[in-house]
Amino acid sequence: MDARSDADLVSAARAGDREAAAHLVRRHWRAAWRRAYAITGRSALADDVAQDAMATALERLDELGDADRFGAWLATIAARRALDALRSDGRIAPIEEAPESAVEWVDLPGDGAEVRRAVAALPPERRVAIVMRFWLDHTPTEIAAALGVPVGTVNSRLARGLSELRRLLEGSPRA
Amino acid sequence: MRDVERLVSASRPEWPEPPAVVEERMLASLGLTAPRPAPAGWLRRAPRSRRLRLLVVGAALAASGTALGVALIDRSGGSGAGAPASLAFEPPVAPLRSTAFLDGQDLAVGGGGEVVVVAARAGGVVAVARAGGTWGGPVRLSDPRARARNPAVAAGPGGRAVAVWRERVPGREVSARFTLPGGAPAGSLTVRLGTRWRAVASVRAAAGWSPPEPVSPPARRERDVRAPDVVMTDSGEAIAAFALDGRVWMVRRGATGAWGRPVPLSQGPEVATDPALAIDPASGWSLAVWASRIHDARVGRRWSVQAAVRPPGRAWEPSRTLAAGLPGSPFPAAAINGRGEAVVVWQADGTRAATRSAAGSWSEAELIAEASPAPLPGSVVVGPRGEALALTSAPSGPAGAGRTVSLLLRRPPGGAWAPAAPTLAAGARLLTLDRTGRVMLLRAPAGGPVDVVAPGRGRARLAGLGTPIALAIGRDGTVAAAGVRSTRQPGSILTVAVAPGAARR
Repeated sequence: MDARSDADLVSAARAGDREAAAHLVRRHWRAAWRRAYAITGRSALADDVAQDAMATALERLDELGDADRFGAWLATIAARRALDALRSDGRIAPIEEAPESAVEWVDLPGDGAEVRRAVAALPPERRVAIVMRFWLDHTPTEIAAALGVPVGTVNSRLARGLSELRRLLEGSPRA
Repeated sequence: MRDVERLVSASRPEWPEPPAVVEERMLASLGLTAPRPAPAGWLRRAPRSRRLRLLVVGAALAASGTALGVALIDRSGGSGAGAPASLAFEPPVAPLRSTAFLDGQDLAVGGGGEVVVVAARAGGVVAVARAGGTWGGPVRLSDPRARARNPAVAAGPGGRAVAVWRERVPGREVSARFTLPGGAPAGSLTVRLGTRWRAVASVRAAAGWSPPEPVSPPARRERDVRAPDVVMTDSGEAIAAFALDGRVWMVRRGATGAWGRPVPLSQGPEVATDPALAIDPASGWSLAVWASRIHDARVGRRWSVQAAVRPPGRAWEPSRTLAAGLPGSPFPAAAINGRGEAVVVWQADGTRAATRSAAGSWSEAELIAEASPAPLPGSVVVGPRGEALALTSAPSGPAGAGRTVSLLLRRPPGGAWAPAAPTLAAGARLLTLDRTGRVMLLRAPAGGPVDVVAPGRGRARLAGLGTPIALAIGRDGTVAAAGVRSTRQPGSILTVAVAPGAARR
């Protein structure tokens, strides 16, 4: 793997160095994929989102202010694309009969499948906020910046998402 | 932290490792580099139906400038009647005539020099063919609703070809309207039930391409149907492979008639994925390789390499595990000759190989090249007498320099692997063999021109090809090379350069 910093690779890629661009892809695509997977819950969507996000990032390299923050910038693009994909794909969802869930990470190894099932059942905006806050460890401010919404909106989605999860998990009639 | 927040945090899943083929596809679609020779990508590590490997004859260890004809492959046996690969390349063209985000593509050359290209774009698989020196228009093979992707193609005699891909079978749409207690509309919900995924095939004959026909049972989830592969013999028999629900399956179609029942090849609890096929088209000897993964509670995910061989006209032999307990995806590549001698190479902390004798015994896996910082796609060819040539990567420069170079390795029959033809290896990306046993290499050094080299015979520069991603040779010596070029618009342009066989010029 190329030992140059992100800033150097970005500068070289801006100058037309395709190898530098390829190294940026190799270095950062997995993180973008995992983020897209966490948000969309589907590996096929994550494939598309990661590819789309990377293409966008490389197209708009000139818009990146701090060249050292390529990874974080790509993550922002991936998060927004993932949410867009979730919204557009969620209208017609391949809902299968139980026990399978359309969200793949419900069945991944690790404790808490029931909780993950409940998270998967949330509306897209709340689900994304919950996933980014509790599974991707972002602050509400970071989530707001990634999604391009006010912090208050993020806090509201988190609060309502948690409330709905409490209802789903405890069987409470409260929304 | 309140209980529900603690519950959610504790339920964080173990995120899966994304399939490495995504990187290959991503780089190819961005026009940045050649994808790996993986089943889901361009470079089919196995000799495809018309993609015979050329072993480099005439390595130029050229201190004196004199090319030394080092025979890396003994051509005296020959793998079947055919013509030497042509070097008379025409300028590259863009047969799909548009820029697009490509989601898989493949290339094959038929027995009479027909070139067939398939590509997936915008959820559809299209095919375009060149016959008699002229490219036809793109033909859509898949249903527009099917979200088709990962196509593969094989070409055979008389203009015949088979394309396979995976696609979605949309279920039925069910809508419900909701009203508030007072009767006012509250909204509606539309969902789709019963969506399935499957591998399908389309056959090209004189009348054109057939409607898509399923070759696999349906799967409930897209990830349960992995990218299929296909090869074809000189007689027109086609073999397709796909992974379904964690097993690798084979399905066969005679020169005429229908597809047979799928036959499972993989065994055991591991999840088998990404099968790749190799074939000697003249004899019909076939080889399938795939990677399998299993989750070990102690050490996490582990991979193995498995292979199965089909003698001509007979059933598939039981699969063999060539390597197990690998920490990462191994990306196996394979080749087989007309005597059933085969070689499989894969990545596991370096490049490793196992060989199969004509009698059917497999060797132990051995390390043939050290691990490199950025492993390049591997490929291998086997000559008619069992000699083998592998194209892989090796570290270069001082330790920690992080440089990788292409490496050619040769194994004489019954002998040991050793580096070969370093001058020719520099920048090599693709390796193949024609029907006369001659080697052809496609070289694309960083920042340098793209060349097709036929050692001992010459070379051709492919200006305008872009980043090379495939090389195929027909029985009549027709050669086709494919590449991708980036454009100002999102997506890339697929380019193909053709060198017609001698009979066509």
